[in-house]
This record gives sequence, structure tokens and C-alpha cells, in this order.
Amino acid sequence: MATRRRMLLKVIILGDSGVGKTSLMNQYVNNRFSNQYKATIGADFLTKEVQIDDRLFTLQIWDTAGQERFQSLGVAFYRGADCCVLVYDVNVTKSFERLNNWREEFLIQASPSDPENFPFVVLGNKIDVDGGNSRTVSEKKAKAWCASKGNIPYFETSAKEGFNVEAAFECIARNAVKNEPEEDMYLPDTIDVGGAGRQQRSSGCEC
Amino acid sequence: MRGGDVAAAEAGSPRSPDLYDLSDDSDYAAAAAASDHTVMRTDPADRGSEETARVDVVYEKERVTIHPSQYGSGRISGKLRLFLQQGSLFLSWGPNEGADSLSTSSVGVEIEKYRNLYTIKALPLSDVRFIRRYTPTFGLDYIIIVLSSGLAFPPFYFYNGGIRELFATLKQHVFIIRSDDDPNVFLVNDFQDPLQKSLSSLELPGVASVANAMSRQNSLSFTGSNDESRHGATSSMSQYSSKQKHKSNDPGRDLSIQVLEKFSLVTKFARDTTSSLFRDNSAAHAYGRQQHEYILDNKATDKHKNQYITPEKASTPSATIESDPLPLVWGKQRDRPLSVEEWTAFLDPEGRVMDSKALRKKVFYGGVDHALRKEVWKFLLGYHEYDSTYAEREYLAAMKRAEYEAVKSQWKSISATQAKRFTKFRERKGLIDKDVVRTDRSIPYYEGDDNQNVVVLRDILLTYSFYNFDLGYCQGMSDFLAPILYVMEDESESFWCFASLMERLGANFNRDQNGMHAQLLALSKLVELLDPPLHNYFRQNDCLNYFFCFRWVLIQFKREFSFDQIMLLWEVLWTHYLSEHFHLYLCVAILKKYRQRIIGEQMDFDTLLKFINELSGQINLDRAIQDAEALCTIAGENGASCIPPGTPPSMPIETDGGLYVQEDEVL
Repeated sequence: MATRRRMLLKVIILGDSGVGKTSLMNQYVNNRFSNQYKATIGADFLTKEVQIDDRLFTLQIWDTAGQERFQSLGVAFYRGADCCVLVYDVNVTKSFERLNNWREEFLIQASPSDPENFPFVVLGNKIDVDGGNSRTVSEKKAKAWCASKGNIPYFETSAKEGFNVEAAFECIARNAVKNEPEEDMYLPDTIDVGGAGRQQRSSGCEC
Repeated sequence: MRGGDVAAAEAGSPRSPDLYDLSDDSDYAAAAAASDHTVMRTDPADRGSEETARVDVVYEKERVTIHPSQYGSGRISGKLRLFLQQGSLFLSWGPNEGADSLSTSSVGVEIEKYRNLYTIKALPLSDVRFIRRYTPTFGLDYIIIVLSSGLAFPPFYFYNGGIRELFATLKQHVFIIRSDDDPNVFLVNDFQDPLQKSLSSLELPGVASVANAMSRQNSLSFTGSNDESRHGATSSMSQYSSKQKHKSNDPGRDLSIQVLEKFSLVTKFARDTTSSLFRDNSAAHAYGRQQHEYILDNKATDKHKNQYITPEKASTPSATIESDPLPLVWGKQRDRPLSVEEWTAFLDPEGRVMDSKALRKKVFYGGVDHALRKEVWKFLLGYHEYDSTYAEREYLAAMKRAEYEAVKSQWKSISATQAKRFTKFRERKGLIDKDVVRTDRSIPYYEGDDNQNVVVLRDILLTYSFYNFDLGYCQGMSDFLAPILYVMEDESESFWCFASLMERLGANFNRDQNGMHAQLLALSKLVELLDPPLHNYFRQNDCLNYFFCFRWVLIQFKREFSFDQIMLLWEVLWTHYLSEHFHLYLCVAILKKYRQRIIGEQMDFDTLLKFINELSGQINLDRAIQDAEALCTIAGENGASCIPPGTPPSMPIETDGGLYVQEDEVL
């Protein structure tokens, strides 16, 4: 049980409807982009095996409905999360402004043991749209907000073109590992062969 | 061993010479041989020798009576027997010859029919699931025999006593134990687990062999070509079963149904196996029809000396069989869609639907020909009244078109400057814009860039969010609207159909999700009623919130089936024929179908959610509807009482504060 728990990293993707949560997840897991995704109803998840510093993990990425009205479902889906990804659309100011709401709602519903230090990662998606000309939220503005919330790592991505998606998720995975309770690392039956490894987790996150 | 038994049996059964004599051993031999499918099938030539096989009557009781009608005078007295042949125990019951002297002339004809219907030629005890004993303080003792298939015979009333001897004799020849749940229920052939704990655990794999044995026999008897007697006997059972549904005042009926409810699990299992066998039989027609044909077949080819089943008489109520085969056990085979001719026949010259219940029933069982959907959906959705005339509907359409345009102009007239100061409008529009371009775009009607139908979809949803400003727009609504617009091909008519649908399902989209929670709770109760082992599993694994069924319920399986299938499913649901909440029974049916896997693979909440999501496109719709129908029928009132009033899609219970809960939500 402890072994399984240690191996599984649960990540929740939140953000307004249509910012590209499903697309980001699919681009990362399946290296695919489609214009045909439907609005997510309820929740779903994809899994991907990842290696972090010689250790293998199963990243379980949860995609949820973006409409605020469905937030009450979060209680069931957010439980046991190791990292929360907040996504906004750099072309839609409102989706950026609502990041704080998503963050707070997550902390309330997931009620992590240490909310102050719970790992979030922010993604500004759709930077490809209109060659960046329709952009309404600047990188600077986004980074300032992330800094004000305890130095949340920030990535600008394009799920459509696959830009920066891999890097973002590597950071997400490392932050999720970081969130794992320390004692879990030394339970028997682990397949930890790297031994040393997780204090240099931040190396993948330029933020 | 038989000597003592015969003595015991005969002690309580003095023979009356005026009664039809069932004692001829060769008759029993013929009956038993006819019921022995293996012999029949593998070596029909041996039949002659079978007929001379030894038959030992071990129990016999006169004046064992059935009460097919509510009239006391309508009882049919007969003789119940247990007999041994080739080491197997059989049960038989046949009516006394001649009409019961008490029956009046008006019911006499009916009675004559029942006499033949209820005859049991030779029922192998291996086909019996259990026998329920009733020994009321006042009144007659009686038993109800329930087969592994879930079929039940009518109560047999013991006018001369003899129930104790019956069970004593049974005990000597077959494996029989009392149920822990009910000391009056005697489980027969329960080899798997002699310590069988509860009725509710019966669908565990342990009963598989019994159920399988039954279904194998059924398949043989239905596919064999010259097995006439067996067909006759089986037909009479199904006829009883269908008859049973129509009787309302027979005290035995409720009791037997009650028992059947408890055993719905066994029933379901047997049905699963038997119906799959039917399906595999390429020659098989609809089950009801098949039964019917066999009876007619018997009529045409009956050369076999058949004392109990008189085919001419047995086929009399065949219309009943065709319309309601085995209502408690099988969901009816799916019918063809409502055709133009049938639809026309439902309408009077002015266009009123004359028998809306019959129409809804027809649609429930077969759906609607696509060409008719445009017309019929308006009734099913409640936009048109069934008793409206062509003229009234035309007038309504014109009025409603004007009303639609009026509501639409409310947002159409919002200028860009005004929109800048109207956040709620901008955001609603933004959300709808985002959703319509990702709704059913693979359907030709909506595919491609700059598709005008996508624009219409957007306009209708935005108009609706003004028409029902409190509810607004919510994700999932576009899923409902897309097939409606596809069928109606008209903006205003689609809007009003959608609005009618939202009258019932609006609560699914409430801010506080009360409509969803009510349905998921009802679903939990239904699973608890209809599949206790699965319920227990969900309880133990913290899955009772049923959020893994959220998508199923929110948009009524829209994402689980193809576009064509969903139109069929929705019209079936919208009939509200068996239940307004048939979709919940469908959830139970599908969960039940996968219960073995869910429990076997020890799925936790996450895995279960994933599993359910991935069932999309994998569910056999007709089968699921049939299963749900059977569950809904079996659950009956108990099922309905799991679902509180006002649970969508029931019409909401109106409150003073408006229908839709409002909070500080932007959208």
C-alpha cells in the first residue's frame, strides 16, 4: 500500500472552461492535439510513467470540468492530490483573474495537510494564438502573481504546438514528488535505486 | 427407498374414481421422456423404450387448487404429484377433468383456459430454485414454486392439507435447505453453499451452475424441432407469467412478486445466460414471438398424445404473450421503430394522439423512425399536448416563433459598448461560443468551419440563457441541444423543445447541483435494492457518492453512445413509460453487468471512474435497455420509493424563491 502510494503521483488540472486543460493533458501524455475535444463533463484522468532522478513514478493527471458550477464535485476528485496545476489562457484576462479563485477553492476542497507549502504550478496556455498578437495577459504580470503566492513555478505553453508542455509537466512531477511525505521514501519494498535523489528537484523548474 | 415414500404419499391421498386419472405410469413416462432433453436430442429413436421406463409416484395430493381469478368460484382443483424417474424427481400438477362444479358460466370459459395454462406435466426438481411455504393461521396453506429462471407458478392451495408431507418427501429426494432470511423459503438444489446465508447473496457466482443448467435446458427446448411437449409446458409457464401481470386482486400474486423481487438477482443471472443463448441462435426470433410460434407449431403438428396442454386452447391468449412476454424476467426484445403508418394510425382526423399511453409504450420498446422524430419528439418533450389538433399546433408554432424572436432580440440588441459593461453577458456568450464549437462536430450536420448550424446552436443557447436567466448556460446543455436541433432543423422549434426538456432537467445544472445529488443518491438506493453485493462493495470502497456516474446522469448518456443511438435512447427515456427515472435503472443495469469485473478487479474510486469513462462506445444499448426494463419491473414500487419526489427528470417542486438557486456566480 505504502509502496503503491509512493509510486503514484496525483496531479489535478484546474482552470476556466476552454483554457486547454484537456489539450495540455493529451499533448503531454499522448503527444497529440485535436480540435475535436469536447467540454469535459465530470472528470477523467490519464496516466503516464515518468522517471525522476532514476526513480519511476506513475503520474495520474486529472482533468476536470472548467465551469465554476461543477466545483462542488472537487471534493471527490481533489482528494490525495500531490500537485495542482492552474491553467489560464493568455488571451483571456478573466481566466487569469480567476486563478486565485481556483487556487483557494482547491485548498478548501482538497484540504491538504500543509496548505501553505502545497505545490502549485501555473501554465499560461495558448501562446500560439494569432502569433501572440491577441494576448491580453503579459508574462510579467503572470510571474508577478506567481511570485506573490509563494513562488509558484510558471510556464508559458502551447498545447496545440506542444511548446513547453514536456518541461512544464516535468516540473509538475518534481513538485508532486516533493509533496510526498518524507517517511514514505524509506518504507520497505521500495524500488528506489537512486538513493540520493530528490533534493535537486528544483533543477528542472526555471522559475 | 421408494416403498415407504409411496406409502407416505398415498396415506394422504384417497383416490376418487370420478377424477381424471393421472395414475397411468406410461403417461408419466411419456411426459418425463419428453422433458428429458438429452435423450430427446441425442437419440430420439430411444423414445419408445423411455416410455416404458419406470416411474415411481412418491407423493400425491388431491384438491391442490389454484385460484386464477379473484372469484372464489374460479378455482381449479387438481392433483399434485412428485414422482421419480431414472433417479430424478419430478413434480406434476393437472386439473381434474370437467369444469369445477362451482364455477359460474361467465367465468367458466376463462377457467377452462386456465386449466390448460397451469398444467405442469413433468417439472424436474433440478429446475426449481426454491419453494415458499405459506401456512397462515386462518385460511388455506399454500406454496409458490419459483424456478431457476425466475418464473413462478401460481400459488397452489392445499384444500386437504399435505404441505408437511410434501416437504418431507422433497427432503428425501432432493437437496433442500431453509433460507436463513426466511424460514418458510426452501432452497432447492443449492449445492454450492449449504450454508447459504441470505437471499440477497444469491447472485454470487455460486449459483451459476444452477442457472446455467436451467438456461442450457431452455436453449435446447427452444431450439429443438420435435420437442413438442416441452414447448407446451414452457409456454404454459410464460403464459402464466404474463397473465399474472394483469391480475390485480389475487392475493397470491403480490406475494409471489414479493418473493420474486428478493430473487431478482437470480432472475437476472439466469436471464443473462439464457438471453445470450437466444441471441446466439440465428433462427431465434423475438422471444415473445418465438413462444407464440411454438404454440402455433404445436397446433399444426401436434400428433403427440398430449393430455394436459391443449394447443388450441393454449394459444387463445397469445396476443397477451406477444405484448408482454415474461414481464418479470426478461426485458422485452426491442421492437422496430414507430413507422409512419403506425404513427398515422395513432392520430385522429384532426391530428390528436388518441392513445398517448400506447404511443409512449410503442416508442419505449422501439423508438421512432427518424423521419418522424421531428413530429413525435415535440410530444415526448411536452412541447405539444397529445390532445392538440394539427391546427392548434400550427398556431402554437407561429405564436412561439414570435415569442422566441422576442427573447432573442433581447441579447441581439446589446451593442458592443453595452457589452463592455455587461460582464455576465460577455462571459455567458464566451462560454457558449467555446462549447458550441466543440459539440458533435464530427456529425456532418455540425462539421466544418463556418458551419451555420453551429451558429444556430449558439443563438438558441444564448437565447435560452436570457429566457431562463437564473439558470443561465451550463456545460452539458449544448450536448442536449445538438441532437434536438439536428432533428428539428428549425431554430424556434428547437428552442422550445429544448426549453421543455430543461423544465425537467434544468435542476441537473443548478449551481448547488441539487438535481445531480438527488439523482446520484437515488441511484445509490436503487443499487442497494437491486444489487446488494455491488452496493456493499461500493460502500466498503468509499464509492457511494456515485460521482463516477456523473456524466451518465448529467447529460443522459450523451457521451456514451453514438449520435444515432442517443436519439433512440433519449426518445425511450422521454416516454417516461415505465418510470420517469428509467435512466437510473439504466445506470443500475450497466453497473450490474460489469459488477463481476468491478469487484473482481477490486477497483477503487479512481479506477472505477476511469473504467466507467472508458465504457463510452462499448455499451450494447438494446441490451442495456432490456436489462433496465427488467430491473425496473422487478423493482416496482420499491424502486419508485428509492426516488424522492422532484428528483429530475420529474417536474420540479416549485418554491416561492424561483426554481433555480442563485448565488454569486458570474455565469
